[in-house]
Amino acid sequence: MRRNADFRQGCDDLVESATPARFTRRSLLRAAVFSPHESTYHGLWDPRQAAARTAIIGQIVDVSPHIIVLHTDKGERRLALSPTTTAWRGSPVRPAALRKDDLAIVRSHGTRNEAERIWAQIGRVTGTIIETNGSTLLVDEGPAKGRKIVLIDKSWHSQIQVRFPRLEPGYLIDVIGLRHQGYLQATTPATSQPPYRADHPPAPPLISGHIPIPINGTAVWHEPGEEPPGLLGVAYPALDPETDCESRPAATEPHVVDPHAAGPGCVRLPYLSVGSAVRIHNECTDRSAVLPVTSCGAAARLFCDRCVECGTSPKGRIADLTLTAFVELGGKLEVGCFNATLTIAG
Amino acid sequence: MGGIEVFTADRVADVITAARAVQIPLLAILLLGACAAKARRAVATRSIAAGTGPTAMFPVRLHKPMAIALFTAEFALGIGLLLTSGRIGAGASALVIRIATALLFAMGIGALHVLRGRQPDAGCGCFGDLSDTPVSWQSLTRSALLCGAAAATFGVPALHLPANAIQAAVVLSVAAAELLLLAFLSPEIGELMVRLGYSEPCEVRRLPVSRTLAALRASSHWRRYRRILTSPEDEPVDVWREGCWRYVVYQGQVASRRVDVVFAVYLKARRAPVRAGIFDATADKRAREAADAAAALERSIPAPRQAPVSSHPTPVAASARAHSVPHRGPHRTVHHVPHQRPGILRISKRL
Repeated sequence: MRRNADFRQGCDDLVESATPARFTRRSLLRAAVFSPHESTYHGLWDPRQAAARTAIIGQIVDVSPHIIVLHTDKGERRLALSPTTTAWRGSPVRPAALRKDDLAIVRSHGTRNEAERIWAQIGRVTGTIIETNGSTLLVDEGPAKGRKIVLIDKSWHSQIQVRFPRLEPGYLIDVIGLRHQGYLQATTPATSQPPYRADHPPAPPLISGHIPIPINGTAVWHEPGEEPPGLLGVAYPALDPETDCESRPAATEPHVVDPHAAGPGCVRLPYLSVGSAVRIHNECTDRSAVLPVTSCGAAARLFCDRCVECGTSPKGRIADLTLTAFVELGGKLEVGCFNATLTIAG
Repeated sequence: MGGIEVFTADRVADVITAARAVQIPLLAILLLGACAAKARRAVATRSIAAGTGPTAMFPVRLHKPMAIALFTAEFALGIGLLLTSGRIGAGASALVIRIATALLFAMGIGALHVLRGRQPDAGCGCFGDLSDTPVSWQSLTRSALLCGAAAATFGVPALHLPANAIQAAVVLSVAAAELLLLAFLSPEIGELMVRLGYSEPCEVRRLPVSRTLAALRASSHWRRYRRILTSPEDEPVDVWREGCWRYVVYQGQVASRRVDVVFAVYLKARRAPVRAGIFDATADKRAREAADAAAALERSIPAPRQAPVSSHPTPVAASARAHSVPHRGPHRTVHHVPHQRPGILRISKRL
């Protein structure tokens, strides 16, 4: 007789799983026990709904003063450029200055086929510095995302060092910049460096009774990596530790921090699973969306920071959104965060 | 009458001296306690400079030296107060230590005042991680009180045991009153009380899956639904958690149709409430319509790097919908079967 004492479902990660539909049907199964409520969750899972979205991601095929053509996974998209269209490529630039073959994400006006904001070659590295060599940093982004190289040019060094005074192994870094082949050229600090070492984030406040919902904090974004570029979802910082996501082998190299072993972070979030739905509200733009939890965002627990995009948010990162979800919710990628409210969807 | 007045004046002088003398051990205990709390935090965070309040006002490169200096000063003064409280260290050395203690607290008042202005959300760090509450008037008053207490010890003769019961009562009363006042002025006491009586909310409580399965197998719902499960002794086909509930799914068969039997187990160590329902994917129009959407999602995701330990043939690939997550408390419904909904079968009583 097989008992289930060591039951494991494999790592709860949409990308890593051979059967992602297992996660998508969890809400239906839950509805067999608890009463369902209508929501937009169904539509958000459906990749065919992407055409109705305002965020479009693709490679620039052509760009002129009046039009930009993108090659997306659903074919070519042509978007008009207007005098109000803004563009970013390491810094604010004219849309016409964007280059062919750049990977771009565009926020279009909802009803018109017109680009509102374009980001080209934008990248982000968030993690622990494990090695430095002059202006080059090797950053560990956690067991799921691996390591990335960050190059800080002299022209950007002072600007970054104001917010990140300790560019040395063992400390956290979170920078935004231009994505090149194999490395990120950092141009903008995405937050202020936490004063503690990465392996010892502060303990969260103790909570009596139940965790108060909604939860306020910071929502950030991450690069798609192996996720589908247009995926709308959340890397949730508090996945159920009983999944393998939380039980990967502990890091043994110096300065490498396993975020799963570094404690719950400075904000207490209820444990959820891949396939759960959360409602994220951008307090700065007053936009909301119900998003599925698509992966583990334990690395966000290391950052006990605030977002000051519109007022000062409470400490702690509550959601690590996919690139597309962040743009859909009205976030500015070059800023790196927005003040957010999280509720369990339903 | 003159004799009585002299007697009373002597008594009052004795009481005042006793009250002043009791400050010495109190201050020493507070200083050493603060050192112990800081050391505990330093060990836990592997950083002496972590969260030490006023040191945050200095440049980053000075955080560590300032934290070490503060720790050393408190430790040295705490030990010094104790060593010079008796006859051995009495005199000039005792006076120097006590003046230094008063100066330390006086500097503390100034530092906390500046910290409050510059970093309103920073704690004073006086007692390590217990002192994360932002600096308030209470913290400032406490520093002023301790500064006054240190000043009151100037010229106090060597400590000795109380000469009589009245003096002992005075010493105890003064110490108790002062401790109560300090407790009132200390946000750390509230934090300490919370930690002592803390019980983790169920949403963040870690409970192994094996415990959940054991609770499920011991429940009446398990006995009731067991007969329709295809392989009750095998591993469940899916297990996941949302807040206070863990969901366990088994495959079953009702009237020759494959169904999913879903159990929700409340995450509680004992007598966990259990709810159950049956999901029939083939009867769910919504699920059928959305099946190709889920298939498209699967196609859009790159091939997995690693196959999961447990996989099962999914009867129907269905897109998901958001539903409420009851996380506020256990529903003590003995038997809950959703009804009037497509795809979810009504279970007859004979089950």
